[in-house]
Amino acid sequence: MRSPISWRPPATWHFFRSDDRLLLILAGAIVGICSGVAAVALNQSLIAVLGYLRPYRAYWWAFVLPAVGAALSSLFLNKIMREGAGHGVPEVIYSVSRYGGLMRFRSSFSRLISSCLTIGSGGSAGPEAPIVMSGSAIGSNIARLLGLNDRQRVTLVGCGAAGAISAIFNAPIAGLIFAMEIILGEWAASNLIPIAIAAVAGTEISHLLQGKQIPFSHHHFNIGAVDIVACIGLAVFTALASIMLTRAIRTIHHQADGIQLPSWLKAAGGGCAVGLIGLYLPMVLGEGYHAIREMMEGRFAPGIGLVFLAVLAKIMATALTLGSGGSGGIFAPCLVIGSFAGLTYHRALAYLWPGVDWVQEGCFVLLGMAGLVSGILQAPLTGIFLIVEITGGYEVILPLIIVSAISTTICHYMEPASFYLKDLVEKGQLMRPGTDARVLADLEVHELLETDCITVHTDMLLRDFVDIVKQSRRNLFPVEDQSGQFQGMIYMDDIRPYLFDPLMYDAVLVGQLMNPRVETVSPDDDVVEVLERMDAEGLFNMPVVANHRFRGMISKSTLLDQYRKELMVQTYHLNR
Amino acid sequence: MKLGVEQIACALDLPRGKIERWIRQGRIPLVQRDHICTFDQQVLKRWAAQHNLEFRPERHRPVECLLSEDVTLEAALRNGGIHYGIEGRQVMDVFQAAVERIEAIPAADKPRLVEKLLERETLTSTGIGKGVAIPHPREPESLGIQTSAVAACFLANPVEFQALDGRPVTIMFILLSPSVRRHLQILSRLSFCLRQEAFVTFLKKTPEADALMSRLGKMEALCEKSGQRSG
Amino acid sequence: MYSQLFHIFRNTPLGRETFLQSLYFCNQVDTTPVVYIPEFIKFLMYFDNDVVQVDLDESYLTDPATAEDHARILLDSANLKPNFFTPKNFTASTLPDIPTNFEFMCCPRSISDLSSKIGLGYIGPRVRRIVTSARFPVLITSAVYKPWTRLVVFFGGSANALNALKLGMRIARQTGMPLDIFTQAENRSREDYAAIIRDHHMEDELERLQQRWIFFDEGKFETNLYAVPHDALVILGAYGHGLIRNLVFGSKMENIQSTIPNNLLIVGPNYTAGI
Repeated sequence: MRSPISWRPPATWHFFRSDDRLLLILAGAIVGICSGVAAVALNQSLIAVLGYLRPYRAYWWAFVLPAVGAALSSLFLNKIMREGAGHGVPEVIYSVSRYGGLMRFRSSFSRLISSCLTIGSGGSAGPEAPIVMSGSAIGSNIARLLGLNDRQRVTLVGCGAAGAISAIFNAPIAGLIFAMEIILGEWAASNLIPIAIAAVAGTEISHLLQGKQIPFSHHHFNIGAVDIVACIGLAVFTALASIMLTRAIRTIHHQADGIQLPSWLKAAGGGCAVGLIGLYLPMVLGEGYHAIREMMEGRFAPGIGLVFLAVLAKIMATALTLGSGGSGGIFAPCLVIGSFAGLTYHRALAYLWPGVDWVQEGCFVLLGMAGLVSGILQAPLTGIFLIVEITGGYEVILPLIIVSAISTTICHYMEPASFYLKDLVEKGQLMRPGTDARVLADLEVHELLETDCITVHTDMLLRDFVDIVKQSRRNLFPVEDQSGQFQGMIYMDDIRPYLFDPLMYDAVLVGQLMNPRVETVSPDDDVVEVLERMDAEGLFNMPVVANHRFRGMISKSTLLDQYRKELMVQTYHLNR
Repeated sequence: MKLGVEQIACALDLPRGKIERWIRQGRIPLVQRDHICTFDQQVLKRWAAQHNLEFRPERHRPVECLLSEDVTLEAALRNGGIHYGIEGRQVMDVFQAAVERIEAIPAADKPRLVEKLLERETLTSTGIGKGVAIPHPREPESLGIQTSAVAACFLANPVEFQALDGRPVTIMFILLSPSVRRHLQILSRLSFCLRQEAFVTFLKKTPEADALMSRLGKMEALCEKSGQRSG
Repeated sequence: MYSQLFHIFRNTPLGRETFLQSLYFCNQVDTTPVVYIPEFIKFLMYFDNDVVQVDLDESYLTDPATAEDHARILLDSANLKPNFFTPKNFTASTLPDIPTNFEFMCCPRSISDLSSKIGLGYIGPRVRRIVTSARFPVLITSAVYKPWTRLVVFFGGSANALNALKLGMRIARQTGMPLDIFTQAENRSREDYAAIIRDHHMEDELERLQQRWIFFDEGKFETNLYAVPHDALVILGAYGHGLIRNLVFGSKMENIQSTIPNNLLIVGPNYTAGI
């Protein structure tokens, strides 16, 4: 008996069955709006918390504020939400590449609150990674509600990420490119449209709720040829800063892992250290957009030495906040470090060659940001479009491309995997669509089983075995004992000499002919591992044995056959 | 159009697990609900062609897959029947008398079966000792047997079979199977039973058909538990 | 068919009872136990269209040094080969992913609350999520190890109940145990239920298994449950009805589990028959 009101997921409706594009566009818009609202909520509550805490910043004990915030945020994540803490974006990429974008419902809001605590109290981190995680989780959960399949769900996860980035930066193109370049890792038309819609919806909702504000106001720059040449040096400088930041975060993270303390205490320790730095250099605290604004407008007073120190201090503060277990993203610190780096570089140039007519400071600040974002994320397009959109200046596009490209290249050379992907790559968990790793990860041993082998018994006479050889299409035979336990294999090549000797027919038992020491595979093994073992042993076939029973053979020929079919199905839409 | 996952897998000639995964991952244009797939045949055909596959709903799995279900010895014995007082002094006589009584074989095939059984006997004796023989044709497929059958035949008088231990045979199990695979399955089950001394003693007493059947059923359950299964 | 039962080992006396129950099940149904000794308090299970985070209670991490030995001793006593599971994938460094391709999974009535709170009271929310999303049936054990010698299937006519019946028949075939079917009439006659079975071509098979069909036309369901033999494994489908109906009327599964202490094998709506 069905209940009168039963929820049939829209994915199974007749209307959407043959073509899901409309469904995805509609769902993408909803996801974009939801994650846009989440982004605005985070942004507004950050502003509120910062405003509330401002009066207390003046006291000498203000350095404990980040500590309290980080500890609360860690307690909240681990004890109340019981999330396994992490940076956020890598988890989204992991879930997209391994589990079709399935994410927990709690992820859709937990990071918002924890990052609000961390950043609001002065921790050096950005709100973007948490909001991307939330947006993606919202997308994933809406997909679950709609009963969508993995491919469609991944698209909605991308929509969530795009909507979130678009809303928080007021930058639809950057959101779109971020989702495609970093979250999904593939450029397919079927994903592009819903994600674009989500990016628009996210931006629009942010306009609606908090007005059309561009984070950094637009300025006019007169860029000359000299400036473009100078960009190359800036790219190198920002690349070095990116590598330093990546390594600092990882080092502190590993150090913190080694300390036997509750996680909230570690976070508090990190926060405390950040607070101390903040006592002397207050511009490193929080997301730091205020400082960027001043630098762009050329109103940033401190001299070159202090600015250079600020680069190092911000790197240190970010590493301490994120490495010790605070919750937040790396995006905003990147922008701040980038702008400090740009400013340092510009002032150094002006000091060394005072005669040259350099472009305004603001331009190099902007280029520095692009260099750092591209270097850390190793995603040049995201860097270029983000900066173009948040500053509203298109005329800087040429130096922007140069800085982004060179910075990405240098970082890639020094650190083969970007900050988000490094852990995944190390664990072998990064499986971008259409790659060898992905195809192999999807194939399972039981899909490759060949069951056309004839099983023989250990106490069978060679005479009877010869009869079976005649019937068989295969030249290998698994051997079982009387209780059905797998004993070994008979390979035709090994026994060929005996087959033509009738004298032996009644004298030899199958058990004497078989090879008892064969490498076996379990049905739960990864195909990658199986393949590696085959290559290491120089085998073409391996018997699959589970619970001491023979299940079938796995061979390279079937593997190639199925691999090819899988690859065709996985990449068809890319080659169209 | 609606089809089960298994039929779809069959029609595309792919493993079932792969189809289920593709449905989950959204790589194949069909929607699954309660294990029934709904799809547009034209769309699926086009999709298959684009991906170098072939969708043929009329395709069936090769026989080997269809027969993967185990046949129990008990069921086979029910097919073959239990026959008492088989007359004959020589191997050939008892074969003829026994085959005559097996209902599962069409009358026309009977002489050929006897021939095949004798042919196998000339290779080596199927007398496996303890007064038991398990005659069977060497190439079971050639006889066109549809289902596995085992005929238990109690001989009126002991017959010399040139058995391994030289003892004359009083009980024969004639094994008929549609394929070698099946044959081995049944044979291994039977040999499991015959290896139990108690069972052989029980046979020697020429038990009633019902008693034999239930005893065999129990033995088989035991053998299943001990993990004796092939295929 | 090769099948596996997934068991999360709890190194406490209660966990021992649950484990013994799993092992008994494995021996009856010819299944291999896969034992997971948790290292972390939580793990994720990714199902087809859901991801469930299971937060274990602290007692699962009791004395990790002896856990494996304890499990081994119990496995040995049941003549089963040890097969321990170590997670390969991690969503976060302390958050392992547990595969979901097992044929059965064993759960105590609740896995995230301390054992002191578990009476027959309720099924924990995590266990409920697992049941609704899993493709495998979930074995919910009695508090104390108790071998069962017969099978009871609750059959209410829904698609899920049919799956439960199929599973019951399979276990009956494998174990040779008697199979009883319990039906509480709900505005339908016995013939209607028989017709459902006939429509699914299960009649002959049922006949062969020589089952009893116990049919209640009257009386409260909870009262009638007294007729369930104390030594039976109870197999039932869960959440055959819509979400809203469950919220309003409560689920039959919750009813059954809070009344009878038997071992339950629960077939969720995503159960894939024939595996």
